[in-house]
Amino acid sequence: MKTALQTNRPLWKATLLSTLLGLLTGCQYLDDVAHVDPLNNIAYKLNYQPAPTIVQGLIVDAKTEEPLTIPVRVSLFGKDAGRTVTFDGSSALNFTTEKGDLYLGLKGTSPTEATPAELRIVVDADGYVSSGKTLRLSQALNELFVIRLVKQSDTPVGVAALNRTLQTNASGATLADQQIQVTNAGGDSVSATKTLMQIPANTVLKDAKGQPVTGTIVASVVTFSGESAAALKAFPGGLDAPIAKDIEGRSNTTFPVSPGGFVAIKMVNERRQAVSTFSQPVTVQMSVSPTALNPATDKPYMAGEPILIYSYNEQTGEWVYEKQGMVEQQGAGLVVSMQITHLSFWDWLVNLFSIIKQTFTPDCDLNYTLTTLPDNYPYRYELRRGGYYFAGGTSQSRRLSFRTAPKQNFELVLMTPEGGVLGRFTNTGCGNIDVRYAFPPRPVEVYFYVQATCPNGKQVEINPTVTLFCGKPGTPSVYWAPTTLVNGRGYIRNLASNTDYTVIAYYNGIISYPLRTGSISNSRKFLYQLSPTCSICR
Amino acid sequence: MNRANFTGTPTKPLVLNQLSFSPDEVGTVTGQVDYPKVAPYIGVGWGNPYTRRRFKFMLDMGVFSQPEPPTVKLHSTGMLEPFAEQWPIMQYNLRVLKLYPILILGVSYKL
Repeated sequence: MKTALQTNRPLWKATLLSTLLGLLTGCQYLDDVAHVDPLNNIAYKLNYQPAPTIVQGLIVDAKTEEPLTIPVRVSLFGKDAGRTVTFDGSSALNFTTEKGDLYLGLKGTSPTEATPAELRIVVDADGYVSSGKTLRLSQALNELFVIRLVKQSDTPVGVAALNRTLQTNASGATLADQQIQVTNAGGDSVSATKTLMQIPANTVLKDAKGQPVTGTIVASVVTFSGESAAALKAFPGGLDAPIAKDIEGRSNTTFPVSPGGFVAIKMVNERRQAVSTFSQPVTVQMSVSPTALNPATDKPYMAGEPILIYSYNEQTGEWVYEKQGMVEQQGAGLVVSMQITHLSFWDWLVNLFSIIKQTFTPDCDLNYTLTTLPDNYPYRYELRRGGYYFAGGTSQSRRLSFRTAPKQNFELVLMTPEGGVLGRFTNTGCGNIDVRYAFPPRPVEVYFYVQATCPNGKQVEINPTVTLFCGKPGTPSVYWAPTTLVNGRGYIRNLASNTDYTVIAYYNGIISYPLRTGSISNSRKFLYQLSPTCSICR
Repeated sequence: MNRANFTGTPTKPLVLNQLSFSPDEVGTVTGQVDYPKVAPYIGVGWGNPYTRRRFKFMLDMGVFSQPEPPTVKLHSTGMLEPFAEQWPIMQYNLRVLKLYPILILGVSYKL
């Protein structure tokens, strides 16, 4: 008789086999469970804003208006310069950016209207005339600033440049009389002008430390016409630069200058030692434009009339009154001559207070309120004073404020970001001006999600506070409408439907994103890579 | 039950060049993992509780199955706020926790 075990042998075998298989599978499974890593492929995502206060800027070519694509040397001055940090948290006062875009943060308390922050930015690039801008920040997220640099080999209308080499002996004295003449051909309603610089023989050239500048020296003379909008936009320090010392000896008064013309002179030897002073006066003679009006007579200048001469301190961003010059007849034109013993930017100014001292008011606020402007509606503006360019930019703010001279004819031109004129508004004098205009509707808004990743495989992703610029392809990006997205998220609003745009972010150059708007609002993801040297990727 | 909570907080500041973000600024990640409340179980057992022996042994071996893998919820604050977007990846990583093998060994002694 067979036992029960023998009878059910196939069943037992099957059970045993199943159990063994189950154990084997279970062991493998147990191994998998033991190696569960909940953080596998998890990226460390961060909102990133290096400081509570942010301002971005562009350094553009004054002629092409495109951001520079070469390294830019940056120096920061001013009472809040010590609080600045770059995008990746560096806080040097002198640094070089890879290209013409700047991202600056201000550590500590954010500025307000009552307690503004002041920052002076001086920039320089090879082949360009250095320039700067004084920023007055009164909020956490600030509008873009633009500094236009003149390329010496390709100047805009109204700007002319000339480089000339000269020799000095071991004591830094010039070997012969030197004469450098720069002719500004003009064009586009800009008068032709000449600027002449004469350096006598045996003039000792010294640097800022009093050391003689010896050897071969390259003298770079760049002249700017006050009639040219491109030249005025490139005016060092901006047209509302502070004046440290005015004609009446007052210090630290803020007065917007209205330049008739100016000349930038830089002299550097092969060791990059820069000339700062001359042992004897050097003559600089500049043309006086036939269209420049003498504010005292409200007529074009005539020979024998006084004219004011200022010099510009690039580091402080201040214009300092130097002396009163005299308009002279020279051939068919008028000139003003000045004797200088130090190098700086020099100009003669058309302004009100030269004669009418009693009624001179140093501060005059001109505030436009665009009452009918829709929220987040981008527009471009240009303010002309006395027929000349005074200020301009792109904004979404309902309020435009300028500090300027009183009793002038002003014209505010409102444009689309692409440059189409929306309306012109004229007024005389300062004060609060209410501007009403039926802005054309732009119904589409696009939600953007901006994410920056590290290129070296490090699993870090950041959502940076960043400004995106949106405009139509083929138009200068410097005028495109900016939208600052806090932590990389937000809407670009007021876009036309079914239209091609390009959206760009500046980070060591231009990162662009083609955008075709539909007929309804939608969302997009804007991705870019951080530099491998960025602190967050190290 | 059927839920696990966790919290992550930085223990030191995040330093990027000359910038230092305090742990409070960096923020906190809190999470919650939820399992289904009912799970079927299959297993085989060996042993006889009715034997008259003083020592009795038993073995139970099997597996219970979650109808779905655990769900993950994340919440984060401060700079880490976008970290919460990572919950689908974390949930995917936990997908193997669908079957739970069980092995029970029992010993009893009759006084």
